[in-house]
Amino acid sequence: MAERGGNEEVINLNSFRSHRGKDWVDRRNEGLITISDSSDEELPLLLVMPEKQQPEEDDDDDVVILAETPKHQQPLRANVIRPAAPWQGANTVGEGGSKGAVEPSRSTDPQDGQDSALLGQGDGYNHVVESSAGPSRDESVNLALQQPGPSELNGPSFELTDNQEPGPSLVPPVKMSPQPLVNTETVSPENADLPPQQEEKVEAQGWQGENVEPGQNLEGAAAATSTEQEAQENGQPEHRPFPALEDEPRAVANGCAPQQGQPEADPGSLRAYGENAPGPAFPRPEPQQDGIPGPASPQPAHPPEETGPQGGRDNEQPGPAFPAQGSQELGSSNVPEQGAAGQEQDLTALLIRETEARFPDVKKEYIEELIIIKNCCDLNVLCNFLLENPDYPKKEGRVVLNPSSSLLASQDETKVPKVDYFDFSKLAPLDQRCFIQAADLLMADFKMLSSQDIKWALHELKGHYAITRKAFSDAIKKWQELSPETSGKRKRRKEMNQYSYIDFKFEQGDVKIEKRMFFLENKRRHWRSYDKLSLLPPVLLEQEFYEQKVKEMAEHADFLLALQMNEEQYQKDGQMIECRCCYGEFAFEELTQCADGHLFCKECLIKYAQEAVFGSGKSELSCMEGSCTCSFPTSELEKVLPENILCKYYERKAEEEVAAACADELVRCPFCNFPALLDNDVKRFSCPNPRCRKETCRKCQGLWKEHMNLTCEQLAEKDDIKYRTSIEEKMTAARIRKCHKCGTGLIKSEGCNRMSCRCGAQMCYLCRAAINGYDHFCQHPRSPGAPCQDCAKCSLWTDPTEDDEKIIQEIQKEAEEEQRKKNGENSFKRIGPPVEKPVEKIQRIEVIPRPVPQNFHQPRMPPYPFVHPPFPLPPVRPLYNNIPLNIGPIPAPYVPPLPNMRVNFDFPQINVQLEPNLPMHFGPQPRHRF
Amino acid sequence: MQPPPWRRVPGGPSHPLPVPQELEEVRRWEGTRDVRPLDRNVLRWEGLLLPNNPPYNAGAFRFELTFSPHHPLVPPCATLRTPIYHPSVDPEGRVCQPLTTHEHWAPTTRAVQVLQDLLLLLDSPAPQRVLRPDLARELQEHPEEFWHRAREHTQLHAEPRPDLPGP
Repeated sequence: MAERGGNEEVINLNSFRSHRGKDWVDRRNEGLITISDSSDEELPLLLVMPEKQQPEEDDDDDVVILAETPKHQQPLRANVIRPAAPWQGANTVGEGGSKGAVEPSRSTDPQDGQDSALLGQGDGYNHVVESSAGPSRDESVNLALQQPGPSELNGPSFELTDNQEPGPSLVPPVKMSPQPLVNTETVSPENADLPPQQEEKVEAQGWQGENVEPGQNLEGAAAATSTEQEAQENGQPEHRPFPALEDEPRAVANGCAPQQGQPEADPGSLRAYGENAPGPAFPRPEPQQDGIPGPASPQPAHPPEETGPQGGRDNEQPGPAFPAQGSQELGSSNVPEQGAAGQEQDLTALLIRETEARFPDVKKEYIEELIIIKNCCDLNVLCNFLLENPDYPKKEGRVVLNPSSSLLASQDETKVPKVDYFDFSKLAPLDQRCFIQAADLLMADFKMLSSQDIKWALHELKGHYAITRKAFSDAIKKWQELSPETSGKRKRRKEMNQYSYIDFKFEQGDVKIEKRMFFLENKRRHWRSYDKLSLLPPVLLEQEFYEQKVKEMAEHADFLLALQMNEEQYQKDGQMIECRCCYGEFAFEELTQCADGHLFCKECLIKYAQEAVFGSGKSELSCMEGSCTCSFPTSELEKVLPENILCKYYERKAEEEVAAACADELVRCPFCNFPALLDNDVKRFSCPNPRCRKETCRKCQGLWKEHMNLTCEQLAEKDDIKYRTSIEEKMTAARIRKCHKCGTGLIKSEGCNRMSCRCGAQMCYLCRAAINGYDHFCQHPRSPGAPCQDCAKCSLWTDPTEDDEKIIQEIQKEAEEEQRKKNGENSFKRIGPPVEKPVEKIQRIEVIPRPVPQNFHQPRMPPYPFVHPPFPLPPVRPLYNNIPLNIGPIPAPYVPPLPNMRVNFDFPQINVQLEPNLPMHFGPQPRHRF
Repeated sequence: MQPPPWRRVPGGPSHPLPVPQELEEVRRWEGTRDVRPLDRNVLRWEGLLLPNNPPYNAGAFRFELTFSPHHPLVPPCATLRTPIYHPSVDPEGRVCQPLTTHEHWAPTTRAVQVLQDLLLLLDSPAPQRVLRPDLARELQEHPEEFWHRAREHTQLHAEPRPDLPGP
C-alpha cells in the first residue's frame, strides 16, 4: 500500500498524459483485463526483486543519476514524494504505461526486459489509478496485497477458469527479465514470506489476458467440493464488482478477480482481510544500499527458458479473455447446493463492508436491512440503489472519507514544520553531527555527485539538509531541461560530454553560491543510511519538511497540468465557452454562473464584485446580464471570490440591510463611528465599542457629561465655538440629502435632480421625496430656469447650488440674528465660512448661434501670440583643456511644441464666442463618471 | 514560466478587455462609420454617427465614446462632438443616456448598444429627457421653426455623410 500511495502522484499524471494520446482507448480496453489481477502482476515484481530500492536505478541510467531516491521517506507517509512527478518519474511511467497500452503482450525479447519491467510497473500504476477512482481505493489495493496470504484457496478458482483452456500451465511472469536487477520494487515483507510455490501461483499474469494458472498449484487443493465452493464464491463476486470503476464491463472483469472470492471461503482470512483493510501501510524493508539483490532474495531469477512458453502463449491469445463467464455459470449452478447460512452471513458482512467502503456515511444497519429485506446480494445493485437514493440514513458524526488521503495528511502535517527550511536567512548553522548525517543522506540521494561537492554545498548552506537538497534538485532539473536527450539513452552516462556536469547554483537574498559539479564516472556504491530513529531530530525534521514541500510542488504541478490538459481538450474540441462579460474564451471549469445559468468567467465576477464592494456600484451582486434579474448564489460567490472581497461584501451587505431596516434607530458614535441601534426615545448614546465607551447626546452629539441638565441648545451656547459649529453643521446638512432608505448621505455634483442612492432608492433632489422614475418631474418644455406654467412639479434640471445656497443663507441669517439679539452688535461674529466674493458665473459659451444663419459677425478670437519661447541651451559642462569633465548623458534640450497646433490643451479659457464653424473642440472634456 | 491563463491575477493586465471585439462589432454596424480609437487609446473611440431621420440625416455627427479602465463593469460615456440642434444634447455635447448610468448599466451591455441608443435618441427628438428646455419648448410650440433650424444647423455644422455622395 505504501508503494501504491507513493506512486499515486505519478500515476495521475500519467493517466492525464495518456488521456490526450490516442492510446488512451487502447489502455482502457486493456484495463478490462488488467484489473482483475492487478495484484498478481505487481506482486511477482516485488518477489523477484525484493532488495532493490531505487526503482529507476537500473531501468534507465541517466534517470537514475538524477533520481532522488524516495525510499527512506516511505515509512512515514504512504504517499510522500515520488521524486517530483513532473520531472522524470512521470516520463518514465508514462512511457511504460503507454507501451503497455500499445502492446498488450509481454515481450520476450531480452533486450526489452527492462522495458517490460517498466511496463509491468506502469500497468501496476494503472490499476491503482483506476481503482483509486472511488473511495474504495484502499480496500482494493489492500485486497491486492492481501491476496497471496490465504494460500491455496486461489488455486481451485483458477483451475476452474483454466478448464476452458488447459494451456501451458506454468506462467512465471517476471522471469523474462534477463537481469534480475531490473525489477526494482520494494518488497513488502508479507510477500517475501510466501512459500515459493504459492508465489508462482500468484504470479499468474492475469492482466495479460490469461487467467490460466499453473497446473501444479491446483493439484494440492483440487478436492471437488472445495472447488465447487470456490466456484460459487468466485461466481458471486462477479455480481458485485467495484462500483467505483466507471464502466460495467470492466467491473465485470474486475469481479472475476480471485481475491474477491477468497475471503469468503475462509472466515479467518476474511477477518484478516477486514483487519488489514484500513491499515495504512505495510512496513517496508530497510533500504538496500546498492540495489543488488542479496542472496536472501526469496525468489531468485527464474530460469530463462520459462519465458519462452509465456511469450508464445501471449502471442497466441493477445486479446482480453473473459474466463469469468465460465466461472460464473459454474458458480451459479452450484449455489443452491452450497448455500450455507454461515456463508451467507459472511457474504452479508462482506457486502456491508464493501458498501461502506464506497459510501462511508451510510448507516450500517441500513445496508444490512437492504441486503436482507430487499434481498440484493449484488454490490452493484446496492451501490446503484444508494446512488439513486442519496437521502439514505447517514451515520452520525463526521465521516472521514479517506483517512489516509494525502489531502488530510498534508493538512495535519503543514502545521508541524513551522520553520521554513528553504529560507536561508532564517537558518542557523547546525552542529557537526547533524552535518554528517545530512551529508550522508545527500550522498544517498545523489549518487552521481562526488561527496566533496555535496559536502561543500552542504557546508555553504550551513549544514542544512532540506535547502541543500533542494538546490541540488534544482540544479539537476535544470540540467535535465538543458540536456537535449532527456528521454534516457543510457549510453550518455558513459560519455563525458558537455552534459556530464551540473551547474550548482544557489541564490537567495545576497547569498550566492555557484559551482560546476561533474558527475562521478560511476555511481556511488556505498553510503551510510539511517533509519528514522537514528536520525537526529533536526535532520529528520528537515527531511520531512523537504518531502512535504516536494510533494506539494508535485501536486501543484500536477494540478496545473491537469487544468492545462483540460483547457487544451476543450480548445481542441471547440468547446470553449465565451464569457458574456469580457468576451474571453474559457473552459467550463473556469466559469461561474448566476442563479439563472448565465456564464461568466471567474475573473469578471471578481472584478464585478470588487467594483460593487469597493467602488460605488450596487452592493447587490445581481447578474451581469442586463436582462437577468437573478443574483449570484452565495455558493458561487464563496467559490470564486477571494476572501477579502467576500468579507467586505458580506459586511457591506449586512450594514446596508441594517441601515435600510432601521434607518432612524441607527446611531453612530460621533467619535469612533461605531454603529448601534438605539430606541427612538433614548437621548443618551453610550458607545458599545469597548475602546471608545463615550457617552454622547444623540441629537447634538456633545459629550453627555457636559450635557447634564442642559438642552442641546444651551449646551451649544455655553461654548461659542460649539455653537457656531452646530450652526455650521446645519448649514452643511442643508446641502446633504439623506437617502430615505439607507440613510447614506448624498451630494449632487452634477446631473439632474433625480438622485439614486447606491442602495437603489431614488429621491428628488429638490423636495427630497422618494420617487420612482422621472414621473415626479415636470415634463413640460420651458425656458431654462423659468418655472413651469403648466404644473407645479419639480423641474428635472436646476442648478443645485442655488437652492442649497438659499437654505444655507437662511440658516446663517437666522443664527446671526439670534446671536445679535443676545450679545448685542459689538460681539457679533460671523457664522459660516468667511465671506468670499461669489464666483462670477461664467456664462456658458453659447456655441450654437441663434438664430442660426445670419450672425456671422462675431468678434474674432484674438490671435494667439505665436512667440516661440527661446530654446534652452544645453547645460554647459565644466571643461578642462577642452575636455569635458564628468561626461555624462547630456539631456536633450526641451523643444516646446509648435504653437500653431490646432488643439492646445493648455489654452486658457477664453470667454469669447468661438468661430461658429470651428469643430466642436471647445470646453473641457466632459467629466467622466468613473 | 508564463502563468497559465487560469492562474492570472484577477484584474491583472492580462485579463482580456472586450474592447477590441466590441470595436469589431461596432464597425459591422451600419449606423456608424470610421470608428477608431482616439489617440491610440483603445478606451477612447471616436467615429461618425449616421442618423436616419430628417432633419439630422443630412450629415454625420462625430461622437466620442470613453470607456472606463474597468470596462465593462463600469458604464462608458458617450458624447457628441459635432454641435447639434437637439433638445436632448446639451451645448457641450453631453447626452442624457440612462443606459450608461450606474443603475441601469449591465456589464453585458455592449458598446454597439450604447451607440444604437444614442442614435435612437438623435433620431427622435422628444420633449422628454430634455437637456435644453428652450429647444424642447420650441419643438413643442413651433415645430416647423424647430425643424427648420435643426436642418439648417445640421447643414452648417454636421460633417458630410461618408455613405452619400458629397453635395
